[in-house]
Amino acid sequence: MSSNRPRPVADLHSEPYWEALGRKILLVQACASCSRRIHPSAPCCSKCLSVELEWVEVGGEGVVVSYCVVAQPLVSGIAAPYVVLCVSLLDAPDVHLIANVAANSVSGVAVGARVHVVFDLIDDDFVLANFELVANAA
Amino acid sequence: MKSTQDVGGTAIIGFGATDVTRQPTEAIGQYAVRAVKAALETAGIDKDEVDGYVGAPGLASYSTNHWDGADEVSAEYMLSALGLKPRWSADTSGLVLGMVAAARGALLTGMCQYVVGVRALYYRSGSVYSSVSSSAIGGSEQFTMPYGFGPGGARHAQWLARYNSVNGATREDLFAIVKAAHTHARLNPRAYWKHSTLTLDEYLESRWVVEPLCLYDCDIPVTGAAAFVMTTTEAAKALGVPFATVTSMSNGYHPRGALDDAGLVASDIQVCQLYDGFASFPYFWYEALGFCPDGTAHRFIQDGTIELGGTIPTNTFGGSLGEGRLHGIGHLHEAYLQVTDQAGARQVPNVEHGVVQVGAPDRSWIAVVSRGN
Repeated sequence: MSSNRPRPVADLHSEPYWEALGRKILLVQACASCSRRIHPSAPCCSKCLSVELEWVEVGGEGVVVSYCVVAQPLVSGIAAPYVVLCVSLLDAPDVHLIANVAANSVSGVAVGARVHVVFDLIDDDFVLANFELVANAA
Repeated sequence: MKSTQDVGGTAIIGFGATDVTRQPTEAIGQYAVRAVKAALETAGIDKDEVDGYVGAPGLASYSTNHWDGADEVSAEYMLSALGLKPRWSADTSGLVLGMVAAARGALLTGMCQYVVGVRALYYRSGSVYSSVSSSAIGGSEQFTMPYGFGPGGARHAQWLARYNSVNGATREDLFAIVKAAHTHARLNPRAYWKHSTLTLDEYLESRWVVEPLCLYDCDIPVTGAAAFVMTTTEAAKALGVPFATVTSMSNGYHPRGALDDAGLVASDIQVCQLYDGFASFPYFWYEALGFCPDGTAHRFIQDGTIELGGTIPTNTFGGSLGEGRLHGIGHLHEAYLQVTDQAGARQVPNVEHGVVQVGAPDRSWIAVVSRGN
């Protein structure tokens, strides 16, 4: 079954990200010069301006920086209400990922909550990186 | 100090604005033209004297078609409509203060003498204002829109959720901004909410758009236009019309840049026009501009502080929340009216300097607008 949800159109910067995500692997860019982690994909490191960026796999553990609940059906193919998280990754705190909460469960979602990645197959090879709450996390 | 005194100054010598409505009976071009004619009239400037034009047609909404003359007006469109062939013209990004910044540059380098600036917005009741129906999303939104993150101020809702969580702020706190907007709108005959009787209970019971932003936390989409005329301070003095000096400007990345360049601090400002596309935005600026310590804006705004008669009356025309979504030209218009003593029933006494800020907290311009003399 195909989803009407907006599908990402990969470009020359982002292609490796989506290709890996399709295989349920989370990649971000890393600056070869200062090792800063970068996402979304960028033309250079905004700190040292190095254009030598590599793709590295990151762990899926994170912290909720913030969240919101979209209450109206504003985007085609996505039923409201739904939660959108902003997640900072534990092994790449500069990286903030926008994601939905797995199973659209709002219970327990809070600023500072611990989460880990869940790869949700939307259809065919279309995978999104979502997050679920880590139970009993400190 | 890199202020206007070093290079001569610029001034706003006229302003015109149309009615705002959600049931337009004219095309956007007619609104824009009416605003320009009114602006030229208050400035006492003839059309043939206009040798500069600046606009900012973009950034209307996710569901805008971007059809020139139908839902937005480009410089090309306006110059053709007005029969103008100016020495300088530009469409800018950065909403209305980006226009003012560009006009200052054009005036102070002598490229032109009289600049007309136009901002027009179009909305017709019945259409969904901020929605996305694309099945394919490229560019930076490829990382956000597949998650349904974009329209309805989702980015700003997340900012507010974090602010509330970190600082212990509540919806009741935020209502002070909405209440001030609606209270001031009642003194503005052009305001969409001029007859508002909004209560705290009605506010708390209104539907969510993107939680924690509710219906009344979002500005109201309207059709309307406003236009200004700018020239050099020297020329403004010679004309003998009331004028507002654009004393200093800075990008929002340097929140206190405009105040610093003018040699001012927050307590030197008598009135503020802070962009309120969403009610949460002013929190950021009360703190960043130095009106209150970080993390305390939600307390600072209580007890009438930001209403007429308070310490720092803000959005005295109702803001975008009360007047309608004119993307900041309403804010600049009110700053001009306040420093030229033309604000009528909502005039703040003895205004020397007003602050105008336009844009979201992470992409803004700030100006100090002062009494012309």
